[in-house]
Amino acid sequence: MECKEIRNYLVDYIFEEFKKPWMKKVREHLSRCPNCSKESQDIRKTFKVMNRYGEVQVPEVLYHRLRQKVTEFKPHELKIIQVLRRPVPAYVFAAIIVIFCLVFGISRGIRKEEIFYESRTISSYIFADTSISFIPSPTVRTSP
Amino acid sequence: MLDEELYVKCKKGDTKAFRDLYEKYSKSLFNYIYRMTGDYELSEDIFHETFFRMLTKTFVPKAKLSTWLYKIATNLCYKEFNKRKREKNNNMDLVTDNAENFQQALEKKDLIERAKNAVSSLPDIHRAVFTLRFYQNKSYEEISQILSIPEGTVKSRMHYAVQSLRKCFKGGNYGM
Repeated sequence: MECKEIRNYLVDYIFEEFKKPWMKKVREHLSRCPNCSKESQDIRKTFKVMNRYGEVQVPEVLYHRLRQKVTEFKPHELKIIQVLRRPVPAYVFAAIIVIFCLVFGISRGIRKEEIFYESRTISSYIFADTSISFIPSPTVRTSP
Repeated sequence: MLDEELYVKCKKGDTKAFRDLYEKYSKSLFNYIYRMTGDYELSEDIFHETFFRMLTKTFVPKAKLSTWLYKIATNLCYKEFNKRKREKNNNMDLVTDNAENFQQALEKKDLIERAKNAVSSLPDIHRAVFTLRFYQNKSYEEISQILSIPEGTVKSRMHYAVQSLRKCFKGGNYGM
């Protein structure tokens, strides 16, 4: 085995992840190669330091706070959000919104067009024939 | 009693089953979160949220319950890291902070602090793998399930994490 290959396996060797024949092969290489042996020692020392970072205790108060949080939880409040988060309802919901936007947008577009044509018709009426007009003619007041 | 049975009882409102599950996983889970975040108060929040989600979400028994719990905790940690990164605009600030902390710890020559800062100086994805493998003693297979990545990626991340940690103690400065 080459040094490069061995160095990739050193962590697993230290954790004793390999089966016996592999462990033996790595051990033999380490006994022959001072560089790999030094690297192995360094990793072991690093792990020793990392082991100093011990566990912290979990205070009992955390359990009581969690119990309180669970007790206060009202599932119906989240139900709609949870349902929407599921893939199928979410897609259906998105599809409905898209369809609504399309229908709404198209209908608005048609309406605008109608107004445009209507206004053109009215103006053409006014300018074409002044006698037929939709604009009310001003009333002339006569003094009594 | 199996975890899955406890979980079913727990979902039905059995307080004792909940207590049993809590007793079983609270210490390892809290320590995992604490080593991931390096912040005690934040760890409390994420720890609460993990158990809370366990109760409010539905467990699909594809993997072990513990794997699922670690997965929830990891995702919450990542979410928090992303939030912090967004707040700080980029990751460089975090790295600099960690590097500064590491320098301060070197000056203090406090081994526990040094170990703590060395872990927090790792990139998030490497820290998750290292913490799960080294401190939680999880197998590569389980880590790959927790993090949803291939086993090969877990091994390479572990390798890089160890190399980065070695660099933190460059020059044989192990303080021992």
